[in-house]
Amino acid sequence: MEALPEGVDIGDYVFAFEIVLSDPELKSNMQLLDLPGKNDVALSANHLQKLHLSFLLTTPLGKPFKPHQHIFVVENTGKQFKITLDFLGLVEKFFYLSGQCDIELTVGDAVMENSFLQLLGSIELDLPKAPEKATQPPPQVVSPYLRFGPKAEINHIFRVPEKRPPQEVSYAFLGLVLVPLLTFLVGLLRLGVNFKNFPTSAVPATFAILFHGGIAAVLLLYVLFWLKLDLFTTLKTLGLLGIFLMFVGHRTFLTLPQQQPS
Amino acid sequence: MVKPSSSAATKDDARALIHSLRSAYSATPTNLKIIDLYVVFAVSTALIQVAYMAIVGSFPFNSFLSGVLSCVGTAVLAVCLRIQVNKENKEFKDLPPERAFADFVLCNLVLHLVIMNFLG
Repeated sequence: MEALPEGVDIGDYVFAFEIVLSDPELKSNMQLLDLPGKNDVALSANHLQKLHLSFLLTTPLGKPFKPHQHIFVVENTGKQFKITLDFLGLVEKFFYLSGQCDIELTVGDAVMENSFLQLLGSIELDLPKAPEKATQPPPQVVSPYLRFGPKAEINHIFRVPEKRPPQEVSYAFLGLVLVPLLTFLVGLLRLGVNFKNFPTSAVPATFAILFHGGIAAVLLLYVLFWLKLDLFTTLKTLGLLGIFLMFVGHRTFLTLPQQQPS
Repeated sequence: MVKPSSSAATKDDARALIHSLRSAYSATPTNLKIIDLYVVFAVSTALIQVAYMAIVGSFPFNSFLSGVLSCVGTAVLAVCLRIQVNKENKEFKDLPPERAFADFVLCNLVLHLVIMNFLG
């Protein structure tokens, strides 16, 4: 701490805190609390009363200080933070729930060493009964620590497959798809396609066969990819096959033009 | 001018047109005819798949799309190959047909890698 330059207010902050329960008819009931000691204020109030909470925060160097976080929306009057809880206006926010409430104060800031969350005490509220149209209170949390527990597992819902057509229809269309392929092959035969241009001498023939085998291997790899392989394995194998195919195909096409008459 | 048998004349015209088309087409080199046949094969396969979708339904939609796109894509590639191989196209005079065929094979392999990935 000594290494810090002067003017940097870091360290233990000093609090003074007071709590006042006021009644329009009766005189106020004021209590001074000793922070950061242990407090156990027990108050009881009804909806006609008001609760004033105020605290004073000073830095180690004695300056007033406004922390970044404190739980209430506090109006800052000079050095003091104040809040007035008017129970008459708050009954709706409390959902007309009577009973014992805990009062907690949280004060925090990045430069405070002793930011805290402290239980100040409790107040027994006696609120009027809820009217018919009042909003229902949200469901109570069973345990405050349940918020930090594991959430319910999220299951992915797959799209339900639609009803498939009967098998006969599928097979009929499979046959129908094969018809153009057959037409293609028959047409090839009718055009008089031949393999006369296929290289006959040993080395070019080997390259040509390797080239066609390579294409077949790539297509087979695609089928395997469709059936069981994943993309990474496929791409690795495809890279190797592609290099092989490039080399062989290049050699094959180099040999072809020499055989052509022109 | 009134034609007594206009339907017969139209029929004759159509027959003559088809005949001239066929005789003109028979002059096409065989390798272009092979490519034409391949294009017809691919397009008709695509049409059959579209008909299947219209009749039965498009449940595995990605499968339908990949099937049709495979056919259409390979048909387009074949048309490109035909343009490049055709001797009458002067633009591609410097391009050897071997090079065009190699492009065709490479593009088909890439296309079908994507198709297989999409097939699911």
